[in-house]
Amino acid sequence: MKKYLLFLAALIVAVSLVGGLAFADSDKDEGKKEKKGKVQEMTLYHDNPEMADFWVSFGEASGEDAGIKAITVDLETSVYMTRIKVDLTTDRAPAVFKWWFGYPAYELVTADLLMDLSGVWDEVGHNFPEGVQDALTIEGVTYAFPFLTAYWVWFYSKPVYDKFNLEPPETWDEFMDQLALFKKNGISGIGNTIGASNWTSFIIPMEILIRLDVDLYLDLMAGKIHWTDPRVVEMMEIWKDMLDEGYFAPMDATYSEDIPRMIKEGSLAFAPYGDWYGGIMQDQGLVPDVDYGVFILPAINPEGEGAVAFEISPLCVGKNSKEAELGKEWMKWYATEHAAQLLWEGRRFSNTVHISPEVIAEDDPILAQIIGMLDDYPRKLIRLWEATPVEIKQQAVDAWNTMMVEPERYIELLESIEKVAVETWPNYGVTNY
Amino acid sequence: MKSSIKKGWSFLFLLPAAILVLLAELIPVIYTTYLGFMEWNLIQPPKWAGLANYLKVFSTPELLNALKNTAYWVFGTIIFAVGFPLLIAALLTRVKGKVIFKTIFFIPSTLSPTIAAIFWRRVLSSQQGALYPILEAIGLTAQPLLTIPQINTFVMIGIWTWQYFGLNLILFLVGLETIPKEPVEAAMIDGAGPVQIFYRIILPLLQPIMLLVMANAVINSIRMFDIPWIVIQGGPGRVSETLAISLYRESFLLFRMGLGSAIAVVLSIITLLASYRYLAAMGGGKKKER
Repeated sequence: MKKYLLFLAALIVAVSLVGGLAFADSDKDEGKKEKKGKVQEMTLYHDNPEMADFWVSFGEASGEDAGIKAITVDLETSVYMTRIKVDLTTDRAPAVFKWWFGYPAYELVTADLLMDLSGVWDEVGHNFPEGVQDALTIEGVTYAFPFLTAYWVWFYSKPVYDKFNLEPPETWDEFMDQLALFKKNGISGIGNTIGASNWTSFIIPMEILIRLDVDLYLDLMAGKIHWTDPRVVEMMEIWKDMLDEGYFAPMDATYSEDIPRMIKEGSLAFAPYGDWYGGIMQDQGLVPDVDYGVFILPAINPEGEGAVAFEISPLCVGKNSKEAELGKEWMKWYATEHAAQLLWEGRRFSNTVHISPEVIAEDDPILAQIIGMLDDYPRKLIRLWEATPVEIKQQAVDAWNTMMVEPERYIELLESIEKVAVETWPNYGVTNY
Repeated sequence: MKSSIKKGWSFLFLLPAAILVLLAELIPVIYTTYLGFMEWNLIQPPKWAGLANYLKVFSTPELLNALKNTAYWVFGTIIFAVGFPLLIAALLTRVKGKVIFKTIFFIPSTLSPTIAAIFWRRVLSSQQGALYPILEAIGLTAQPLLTIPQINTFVMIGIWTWQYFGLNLILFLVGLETIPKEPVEAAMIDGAGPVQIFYRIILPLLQPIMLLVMANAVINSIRMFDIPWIVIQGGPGRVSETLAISLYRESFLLFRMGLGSAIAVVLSIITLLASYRYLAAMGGGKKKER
């Protein structure tokens, strides 16, 4: 009898474990959706754990202002992408989530997973600068609001420039002459390395392509020309020459720690990144306009003038979410002056017209300089990372990563990207590639 | 009669746990194998792809490179993380104060491979890494070793050896200490030299421990992910990618769940085949006991 009771107890424990595991998550979900008085709650997902505190306070502020509290969930990027893609197809889809625009968003649009926010834009779009809505529109429908808009610039070391009494280059020849000068004096030129991750390898090819010919870049991203086009080969040869000349920092320098330090101490001249890189450098103790300045890379040809790459990190609404309507309402609060103020104070992000240039100039003179430069660069191009299908982008990033240490293989690497492009473009409706 | 009733109750008590483990293992295995026959990107419905994914594992240049790298990890681990500890353990049996050596060698084993990777990435960095001032003091220039495609896999195997060495050393020392002295003394009386004694007497008697160490080493190296991913994400490019990294890339970066699943199945089969010798030996040992 005793053994029978013991066996029964063991069985109950086992079943309870299984039941607890199966239902734990739904209990959590129920907790999130619980309404407290007049304040409703919705989920907001992001992949920036380092911004967790900001997002929590941001979500609480929307609860106080608009009666819609955003319960934020943060995950590391690769886990995040998987989680979002799985949840979007179900009613567990988040109400609001941060994503990437361009092709990463396009695949969600074609799978009908994103809410149409055109109507919300009609109501609150006047709070955003001109052109932003277009950047978040696919085939006439607007699917997002901007969280982060960053322009891709070249940060330069003020200690290095002061040492040689230089100004930022205004022509490609000046840029190359400066690289040669730095090399001669034992200073690394460009802080674009492998480091501990491979994503940064697209930056130099993207910059050179744009400076050679803006339309070349756009056509390549859209599958209108091949990766083995002689003009693309020219890009690779320019880059190869720079690598062969030794114009880059040591390849194991990390972009988040080593490169800012090298910029500050004057052992590295340039760091090409999005303007958000200023925040990383400031985290490493650099002072804007004292330790670093910015410029936009000069054109190589006249066809490469007047353009700058940018990235736009959108906030989207999951169409299948149970809180989708709350998400749309939340976006209206997101466009308000208070939300813009919180975003500026918390993260130095300015996406709306609410933060004046004077405020920007006072808090971050470098960002103000970048904004001031943009009038001379009327063509704003989505950066390569989002501008071409994910499969092609990933192959290109891998190939260019290899290029950084084996530049002599540039033709073979270009052909490897072309091979993937041939396989990929038909999946995106480009049948005459 | 009492004995069979006892066995029955034992079986019943074990049954719930066994069912749980079986469900937690069997269902994912079946589902993953099924996914290997599909094309699925998580947001569109899965499409039947037949054997295409499984064939890709053995025909795509990048995945063949990953297979090759995985083989390097296995052989590197056997030679350096098993062979060296065995040699050192044999030497330590003759040394006084081996507790100090045991402690020194074992400390890295208390770290996870991830921590070891982060630590050595910093030490080997040509940018203020701890190793380079020492090398430069003796006239060598700093090289970014972890980004040199021809050697970075072997550098990372070195990191793995450093982290894994101590555990195997302790296991071999335990094994050596349990070997009876009589056969060794008899061999010495018969005129056998140290190498002969080690090869013909000690190694055979060490077989149970050796099988355990080898099985662990092979299994852990076949599924190597942490170190090459943390250090350089299988790069530069994909040059140091292992099969486990390929699985991760295809599944969670490119969302080619079908190909990722096929890689997972192949990896599992390779692991099973590699550990078969150990499992067979353990099964043979139990039969002998009966």
